[in-house]
This record gives sequence, structure tokens and C-alpha cells, in this order.
Amino acid sequence: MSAQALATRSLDDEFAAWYRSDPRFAKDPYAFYARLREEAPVYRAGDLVVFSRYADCNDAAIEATLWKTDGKSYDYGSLETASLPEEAQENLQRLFQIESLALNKMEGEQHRRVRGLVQRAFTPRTIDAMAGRMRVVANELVDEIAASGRMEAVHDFAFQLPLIMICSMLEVPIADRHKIREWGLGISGLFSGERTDIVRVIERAYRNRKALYDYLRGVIEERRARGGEQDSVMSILLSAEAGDRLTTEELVCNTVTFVFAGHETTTNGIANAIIALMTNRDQWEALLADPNLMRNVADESLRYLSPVQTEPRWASRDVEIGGESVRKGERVRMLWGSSNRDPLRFPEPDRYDLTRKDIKHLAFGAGRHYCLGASLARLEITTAIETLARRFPEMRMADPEPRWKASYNVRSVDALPLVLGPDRG
Amino acid sequence: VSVHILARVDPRKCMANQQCTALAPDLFELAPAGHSRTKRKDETDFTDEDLPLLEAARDNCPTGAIHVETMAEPDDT
Repeated sequence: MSAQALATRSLDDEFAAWYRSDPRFAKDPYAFYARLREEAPVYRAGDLVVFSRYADCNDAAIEATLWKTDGKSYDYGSLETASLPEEAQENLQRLFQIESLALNKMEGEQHRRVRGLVQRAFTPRTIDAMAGRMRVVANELVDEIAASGRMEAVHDFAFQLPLIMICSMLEVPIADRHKIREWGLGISGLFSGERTDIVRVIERAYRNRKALYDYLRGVIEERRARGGEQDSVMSILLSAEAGDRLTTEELVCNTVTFVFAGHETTTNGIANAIIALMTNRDQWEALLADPNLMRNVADESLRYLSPVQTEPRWASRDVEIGGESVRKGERVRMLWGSSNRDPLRFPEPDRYDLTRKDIKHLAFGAGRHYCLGASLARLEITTAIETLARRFPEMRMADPEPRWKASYNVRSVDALPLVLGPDRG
Repeated sequence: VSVHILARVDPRKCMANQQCTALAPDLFELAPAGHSRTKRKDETDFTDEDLPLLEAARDNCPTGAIHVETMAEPDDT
């Protein structure tokens, strides 16, 4: 949407349209973000407080009194739960119940305990040890389709690499990854802001989350009975459960979250990195000429096209952020996608630049809920691009423009057809 | 031989996840600027007794922002 067209509409109208995932913003939400940062960096809409500048988003993320949920429900953006049919409200409640023991919904002592238990399985040092195995997986995936000269990058590559890796870490059968992917897609519609036939979207999200939950509970029970690997993430979780430091319900709920979050956002992270490089061809050429730039690919791509654009919080007490009072009970939303394009934080923020010196972005959030899988995601994105750059330096997008999904919350494409060119691998 | 310990938090990497302040509240704190820092005035102001907690904090940091170094030096005495 052009800046001129934006300026003719009131900010309130624009915000409402963006918040309900109006397709007008699919191609470029950044002009709207810029207007928001400029005109109302702390924007209010009823009981909702929206932060769009980097400093304020960072402060809100670190603030201990801003919680992930109010303990009763999750904030799905523009979704007005009170006006939903009873059946949909019940499904939302059921969905919340099977998610509420996941790390990314917890707060306080429970969060500190569970995060402390699982953190060591996801530290940069632990993840770096997986680099060799990851390169093998990436190359095997490419081997399968290289001869065709074409790739649908989301399906053939971007979802498979992170899902295979997280399944390996959790000792989940890799052969089931397509089934898991389908459940994941069934869940993600609600988060990404699909609002057409919302009753069905909610029912689908619950049904698929429950299916993934039941499946992983079975996998865990079987793993517990037969034993397994010594140093896997699953072995760490099971030993915590055996030592009464993690309940069985916490174990299952968090395994569901690791599997879902462990591939869904990274799938988009890999696809978005490909798009960033293919639509900024000079940076692709620079990367081919200087492989040292590879160390910046993941972070600059995550900054430039952040897969998760926003995240909610709930004020558990009165607090001041960005010079504004947030009252207890108000909802808060941090716009990562906007903060990562904030010119007060990043010089020339709309430029994709692999030589950028300081890329401390908020694509993984910040504070106590900083993404547990950040190191894993970084390595997966880097490995994916490294593999494609080495083997297909002449690759390009089959369509000149990516078809962005209309979503206030998730920056993603459903498909990304590539013409690979000759395999130089 | 005495062991000298150096510990510091890199503010360019720290995302204030606060694993370090939870694991070792006597050694780390959240600075007003929004990143963790050691509580000591000097980055070498640590003893052998601090080492296990410093290393645990380093190993659990999700962004690899904590640097811990041990240096063995001949004891003057």
C-alpha cells in the first residue's frame, strides 16, 4: 500500500483493517508500521495498548508484570470471543487448557522452573554440535528434488529441515513429519489471523492441537517404556519428569509446543530468508562472493522479514512503558515487525544489508519469553541458505513477487516456487 | 598456582532472558539498560567458589552472551 493512499485514511481505520488481517497489508505492512511509529508509537484502541517502536517493544518484553495470558484465555488479536457462538467459545477454552502448561504460556515460579529444566537442551553450544547432522539432512532434502531443476521451497525444503531436526531431538518418528505438518497447519490458522468462517477455524485449531497432543503423548509413553537415546532433548525432559521436577502434563504440553513452534516459525524463517535474498539480488551475489557474510544471513533476514510480526501480553498490574501508563487488565501488543524496521534503532531499516554491523533484532522476542529455540532456528536458516547457495547459485523465484499471506501476526507464504538452475554441489 | 577468573556479559548479545539472574542472583543482575551484567565492580573480581555458578550461567545463556575465562598464574607466595 502506498504512503499516499495510507495518509488519506484515519489511523484508527488503518489499524482496524490491519488488525483484522486485511489483504491490503499483505504485500507491505511496513508503510503502515512507519505511520504508527511516527503518529502514535503507543497506540490505544479500547483496552488494547500497541507498541511499535523498538525501545518500547523491548521494554514491554522485559517487563515482569506484563504476562503472556490472563490465566483464562489467550489473546488472538481482533478475535472478539464474547460474540462467538457457544461451541466456538468452548473450543477456545479447551484449546487454552491443553496449551496452558506450555512454557510460552507460563509465568512466575512455574515458568522459571520449567525454563531452567529445558534451557540446557537449546543453548548455542548444544545446538552448534548439531551442525554436521543438519548439513547432511539439508543436502539429502535437496538431493531428492535437484534433478527436476525446480523446487517448491516451502513444501520441499523449508518445513522439512526444521521438522526433521526437532523430531530427531525429541525422538519423534521422522516418517510421521507430513502428518505433523498437517496438524501444524491446522493449528496455525487461528494464530495467523484467519477470520473467514471463524467457528471452523477455531474448531480446526483445537482438533489439530488435540491430535498432535494425543499423538505425542503416545510417543512419550512408548519412549518411556522402551528407553531411548541418552543425550536427546527427550531424555533430558524424561529425567526431569522422573525426578518430579516436571509433571507428566507439563512434559506432554511442552513437547507439543516444541514440535509445533520448532518447525512452524522456522519454516517461515527459511522461506523469508530465501525471499529476502532473491528479491535483493545484489545481496545474494555478495553472499556468493563472500561466504563470511553467511553469519549474518539468519539475523538480517529475521530482522527484515520477521516471521512473527506481533506478540501479546496482559497487564497483571499498573505499569509504565514508553512514558505511557498501562493499567492492570489491559491488553498489550508488541509489534516486532515494526520494531525491527525502526529507524531510531537501525540505520536504513528498510534496506536488506548482510554487512549490517548491529542486528540485535526482536524477531525472537526478548526477556524471559525470548524464544527457547532461537539458536536452533538461526542454525537451521543458515544451513538452509548455505546449502542452496553452494548448490544452486543461479536459483531464482519462479514468480517475481512472493504471494504473502494476509495476516497481522505472521509474515509467510504458502508456497515459494524456485527455478534452481544447474546443481553445482 | 592461583586461578584468576574473568566473567562478563556482552550487551550486544544479551536479550535479558535472565537465566543467569535466576541461577546466580548473587553474581548477575538486570541493568537499567535492559541487559544482564555481573554484580561485581571489576570483571575479574570472582573467586573459585563463584566458578560453578558462572559456568552454569554461561552454559544456560540462550544467546551465548556470557563469557567466562579462567587463567592459571604462578602464586607469588
